[in-house]
Amino acid sequence: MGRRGCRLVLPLIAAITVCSGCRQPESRVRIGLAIEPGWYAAFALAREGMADLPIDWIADSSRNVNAAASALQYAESLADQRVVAVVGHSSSRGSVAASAVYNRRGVLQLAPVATSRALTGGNPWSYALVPDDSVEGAFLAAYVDTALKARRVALLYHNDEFGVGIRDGVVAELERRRVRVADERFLSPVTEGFRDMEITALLAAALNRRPDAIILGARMMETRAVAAYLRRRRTTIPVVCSDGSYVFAPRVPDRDLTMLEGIRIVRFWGHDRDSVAAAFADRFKARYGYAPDQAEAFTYDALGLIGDAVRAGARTPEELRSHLESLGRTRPAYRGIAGEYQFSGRRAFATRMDMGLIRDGRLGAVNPAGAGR
Amino acid sequence: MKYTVRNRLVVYGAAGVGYLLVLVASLALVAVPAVETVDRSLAPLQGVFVEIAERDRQVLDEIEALDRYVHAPDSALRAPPGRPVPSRAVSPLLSNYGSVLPPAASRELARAEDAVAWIEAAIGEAMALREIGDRRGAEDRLAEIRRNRAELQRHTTRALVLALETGIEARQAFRGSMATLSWLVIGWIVLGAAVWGWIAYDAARHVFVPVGRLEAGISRIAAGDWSEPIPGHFSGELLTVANQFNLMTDTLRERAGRHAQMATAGELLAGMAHELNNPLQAIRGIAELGHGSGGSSAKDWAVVLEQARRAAKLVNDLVRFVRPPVRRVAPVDLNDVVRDGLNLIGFQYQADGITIETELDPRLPPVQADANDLVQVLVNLLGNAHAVLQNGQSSRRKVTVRTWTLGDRVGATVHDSGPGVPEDVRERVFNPFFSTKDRGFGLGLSVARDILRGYGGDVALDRVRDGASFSFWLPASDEAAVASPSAVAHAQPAKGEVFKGRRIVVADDEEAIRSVLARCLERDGAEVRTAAGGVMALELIRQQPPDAVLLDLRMPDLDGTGVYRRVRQVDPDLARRIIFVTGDPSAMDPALGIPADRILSKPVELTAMRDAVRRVLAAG
Repeated sequence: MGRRGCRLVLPLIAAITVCSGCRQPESRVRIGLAIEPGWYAAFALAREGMADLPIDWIADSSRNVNAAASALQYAESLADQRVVAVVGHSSSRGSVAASAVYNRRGVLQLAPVATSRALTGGNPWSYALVPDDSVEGAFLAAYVDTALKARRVALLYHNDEFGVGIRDGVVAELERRRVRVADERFLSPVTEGFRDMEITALLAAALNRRPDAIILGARMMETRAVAAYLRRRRTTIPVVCSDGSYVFAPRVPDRDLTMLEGIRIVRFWGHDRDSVAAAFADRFKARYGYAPDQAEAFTYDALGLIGDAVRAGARTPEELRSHLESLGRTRPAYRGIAGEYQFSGRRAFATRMDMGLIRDGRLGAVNPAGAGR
Repeated sequence: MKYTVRNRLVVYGAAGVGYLLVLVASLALVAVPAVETVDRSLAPLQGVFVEIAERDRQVLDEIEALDRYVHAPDSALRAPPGRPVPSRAVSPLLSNYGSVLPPAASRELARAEDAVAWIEAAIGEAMALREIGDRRGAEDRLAEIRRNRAELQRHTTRALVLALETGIEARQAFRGSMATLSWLVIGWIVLGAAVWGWIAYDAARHVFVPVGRLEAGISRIAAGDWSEPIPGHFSGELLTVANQFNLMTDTLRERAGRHAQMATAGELLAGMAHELNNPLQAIRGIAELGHGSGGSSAKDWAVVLEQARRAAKLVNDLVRFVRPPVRRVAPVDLNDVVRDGLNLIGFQYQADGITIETELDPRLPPVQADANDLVQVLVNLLGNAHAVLQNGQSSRRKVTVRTWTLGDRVGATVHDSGPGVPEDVRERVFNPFFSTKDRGFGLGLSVARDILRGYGGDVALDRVRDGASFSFWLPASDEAAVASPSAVAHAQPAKGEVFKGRRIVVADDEEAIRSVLARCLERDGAEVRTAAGGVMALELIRQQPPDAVLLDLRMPDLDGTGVYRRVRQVDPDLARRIIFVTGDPSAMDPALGIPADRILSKPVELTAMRDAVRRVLAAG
C-alpha cells in the first residue's frame, strides 16, 4: 500500500474506530401511574428493582383516580405526556372510565385490582391482574351457600362498576343455587363532591328482611361501618365481603382490623399464601411499618410486569402488549408476588382466590369449602 | 419529442388522465375526509343526545316515585308494588361515547354519570330510611336528591353543549371543507376548461385543420386540378402523407402524360395507317390487274401483289390494335390470335435474331372473347419475352408459343429461354405499375389479367426449370369460331364480261384508285364513269342513274355519307346498290344501316370488289 493509499485508508479506519466507541443514547419509556396515594409505597419498593431500566415514571398522587370525571381528566393528561403504559386505576369505576381514553389513544393500561368486566371487554389496550367480578361473585355466592348454609341473603354493594359487577355475579350464582335474595340495596359510588351514604340506614332496612347472611360489595370504610353496626345490634349474622374490603386506607390506624373480627373477605392475595408473599410482606413491613394489603401486592406485581417487558426490550405500547400476550406462550409466565401471570382475554387467569377471615385482628385464610382459584 | 399526431394524441390522453387524477386526488384528500369527519363526529352525538334525555327523564320519574314512597302511609310501604327499585348506573354513556366525545364533553358526561349514580344510591338510602321509620331522614335525603339533580342537570347540559359545540365545530369544519371543495370544483372546472380547451385548440390547429387542408388538396387533385401540389404546411405524419401524395401525383401525372403521348402517337399512327391504305389500294389493284393479265411479268406482279397484301394486313392489324373497333364478343380461335399477334410483333423478333416457334393445336375449341383483346394479351406476353431476350446474353434465344386444351379450358403458353423470373418478383409481376424494365408503365400483365378474368379466364406465371413461361386460358365455347377479321380471302377472280351492259360510277378523290377500280370493272364489261368528289358523283348519278356505285367515304367536297343520303332521298333503290370503299371502316356512321358486305376496306381485293358489285346487281 502506497502513501496515497495510506492517506485514504487510515482516516477511514480512525473514523470507524471512533464511531464504534460512540454510544447511541438509549431510548427511554414513559410509564404513568394512576393509583391510590397509599399504593405509592408499593411503587417505591418496586422501583428499587428497576433502577437500571430506562423508565421515566409519570405520576401525580394528588389526583383522584377513582371518580369517573377526574379519572378521565388524569388519563388525558398522562396520554398528553406520551406515556406508553399506565398502571392503574385504583377502582373499577376509575379504571373503566379511563380505559376509554387509553384505548382511544393507544396507551397500555394495567389495572392491579379492577374486577369489572367492562374494563377488559372490548378494550384491546386494557389488562387486569385479578379475576373479574362474575367469577368473584360466584365464589361469594358459593361460599354463603356451601360454607354458611344461608338460604336468605341480603346484598349491599356500591352502585358503580365494581359493586354492580359483584352483585350480578352473586345474584346469578344464588339463583342457580336457589338461594333467595332477601334484600338488595346499593351504596353511593365513588364520586367527587357527593356525600357518602349512611350505610347504617340501608343495613337496618336490610336486616328487617331477616337474611341469613350479608354479602357486601363495598370497600373497607363501608365494611367497618357494617361491622360496627352489627356489633351495636349484637347481631352475629355472617358478613361476607368482596375483595374491595381488603383494600386498606393509607393511614396506619385505618389498617387496624380489630373492629372487624369475624368478617370474611375474598382474597386474591395473602401474606400467608407462600414464601414469596411472606417475603414481600416482611420486606414491606420492615420498610413501612405495616403489612401490605392485596392492592399493594398487585400494584407491585403490575410494576414488575412493566419492568419485565422493558427489560426484554419493549419500548412501545405495541411491544409491551406483545410481551404480556407472550407470557406463558412463547416465554415463561411472569412470577410475581401474587403468583404466576399469563393473560387470556387480557385478564390474568391464574390468580387464585380464597376466603379470608379476620381473626385476632389479622386477616388469614379460612379454608372455605368451594374456594375458587 | 416530435410533435407528431401520434405524440399529440398521447399528450392529449395524458392530459385527460392527469385531469382525472387531480379530480380523484382532490376528492380523496378533501371531500372524503371531510365527510368521514362529520360522520364520525355527528353520528355518535345523536345517540348521546337521545340517551341523555332518556336518562334524565328516568331519573325524574324515580325521584317522583321516591317522593310518593316517602310520603306514603306506613301501611302502603310493603304492599305491592312496594318499594321502587332504583336503576343502577354504571356509566353506560361514558363507556359508549367516551371515546368519541371530545375530552371536555367526556368529563362533563362523567360528572353527570357520577351524579346519576349518586342519585340512584341516595334514592335507595332514602327508601331505607323510610322503611326503618325515619321519615324525616327520608325527606331530608329527598331534598338533597332534588338539589343534586340540579347538579346533574348542570353537568348534563354542559356535556350536551360541549357535544353540540363539537357538532357545530364539525359542521363548521365540514362547511369549511365544503367551501374548500367548492373552490376545488371551481378549480376543476377551470382546469378542465383549460385542459380540454387547450386540447381542442391544439387538435384543431395541428390535427383537424391540417387534415382538412390535406383533404381539400386531395379532393382538388381527384377532381382533376393537377395544377399545384398539396402545399407542405404540415408537420409529422401529415407532412409525410402530403409529401407521399404529391410524389404519387407526380408519378401518375408523368405516366398519364406518357400514356397520353402513347395514345396520341397511336392515334397518329392510326391516321397514317388509313392514309397508307390509299396508295396500297392502288399498288395492290395494279398488281392484281397486272398479275391477272398474265405474261412474262406475271411472277413479278405476283410478288408485288403479295407484298402489297402483306403491307395491307400489317396496316390493318396495327390500326385495329391501336384503335380497336367496338368490342365484339364472339367465338375466337386462339390459333388465329397467335397468328395475328405474331404478325404484329414477329418483325421485332426477326430483326433481333430471336427464334419464335409455334405449336398450335389444330383441334383447338373456340373461346368466347373479343379477338382484339386476346391479341393484346398475346402481344403483351410476346413483348415481355422479347424484352428479356433482347437484353439477355443467352446464346440460344428462343420463344415458343403453344396452344393447348385442358378439360374445359383453352389456353396458350409463351415460354422464353431467358433467365427466368426471380423468386422475390414472382408474387408481384401481376401488380399494377410493377415493372422490371426501364421503360413502360408496368401495367401490361395487370391489364392482361383483368381482360382474361373478364372473360372467365386467367393468366399465370408457370414454374419451369429454365426461362419464364406465362400461360393464359379461357373457358371453351360451344359455338364455332368465326374467321379472324384480318383473314385474307383468296377468292378466284371472276372471268368473262360479268358486268356487260352495266353502268357503274366510281367516286374517289385518289386518281390512282379511281383508275384501278375503273379498269377492273371495265375489263369485266362495265361502263364506268369516275368522279373525283361527292358533288361530281351526284351529278353523274343525276345525269344517268347507274346500276351500282362504288363510293369512297372521305372526299373533300361532299363525303360518301352525304352522297348516300342524297341518293337515298331521291332513289332508294339505287341507294341499296351503293358500295362504300374506305380506308377507315370505323368511320362509317352506324345510323346509315349499311350492311357489312357493302363496306369494303382499302386496300380491297379486286375480286372482293367484283363480288360485292355482283351481289348488289343481283339483288337490285
